[in-house]
Amino acid sequence: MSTHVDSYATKLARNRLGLWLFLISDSFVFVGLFVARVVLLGANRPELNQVLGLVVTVMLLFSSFFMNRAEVEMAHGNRPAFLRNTFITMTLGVIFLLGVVGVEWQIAPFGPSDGAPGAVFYSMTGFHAFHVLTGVALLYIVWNNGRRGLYTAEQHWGVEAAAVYWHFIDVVWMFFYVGLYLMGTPI
Amino acid sequence: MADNKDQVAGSRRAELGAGVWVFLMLGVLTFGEFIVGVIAPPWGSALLLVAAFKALFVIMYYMHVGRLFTTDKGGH
Repeated sequence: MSTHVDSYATKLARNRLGLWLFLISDSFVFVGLFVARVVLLGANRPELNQVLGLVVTVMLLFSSFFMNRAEVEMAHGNRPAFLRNTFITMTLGVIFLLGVVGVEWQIAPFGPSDGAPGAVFYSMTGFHAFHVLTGVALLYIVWNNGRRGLYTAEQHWGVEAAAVYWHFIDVVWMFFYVGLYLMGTPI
Repeated sequence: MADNKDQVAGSRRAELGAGVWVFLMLGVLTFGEFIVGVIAPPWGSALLLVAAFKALFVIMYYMHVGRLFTTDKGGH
């Protein structure tokens, strides 16, 4: 029994390290995109709807809040609350995607091939939106596993991994939001 | 037994409470960023510092980076 617990702890430590190494490597692409934005646009920014930018940002912020609650509830064995909070997180993620891809992409006064602002805006939001999409898919898998009772208060690495990934998406957007919607004068 | 149950409930409340405080702080800072970005765009670059501060809080309190350096046996 003791051996089993020890091996789970070892595996967990290895999983955590692996996930963080993946996130660090993934963040290099996001840093590259942000540097491209600074080099190409400098003290300017794409002309975007700042209120819409705030709304989608708040949606993502709320989603992180509910994801944290979901993880805490699972860690204390409260499965119904975990399922509820994970579902809310997924819904907010989908609303974020609809806000950015479904609305902002449609109302932006430029296309992906309309010079630097278009290239910067669509590549940054597109790459981030793809991560949100994969995050929602991951959350769905975790939610479904939770529904089937595959996690316990003691062992729920899947929930922890999905939560850390989801918060990572939020952290990236914190910088992208400033770079796209707030930094510089619109062109 | 009852003490243990109280401790677990207390720990859950504390963790949920910390999540609320972090969320409120992030919300206030985000709204502050928005105001500065709208009324004083030249100061926009300084908002990257605020974003870094917000990111630090998420990494510490939501992503629990500290778990990397502990031997926490549970999945939390």
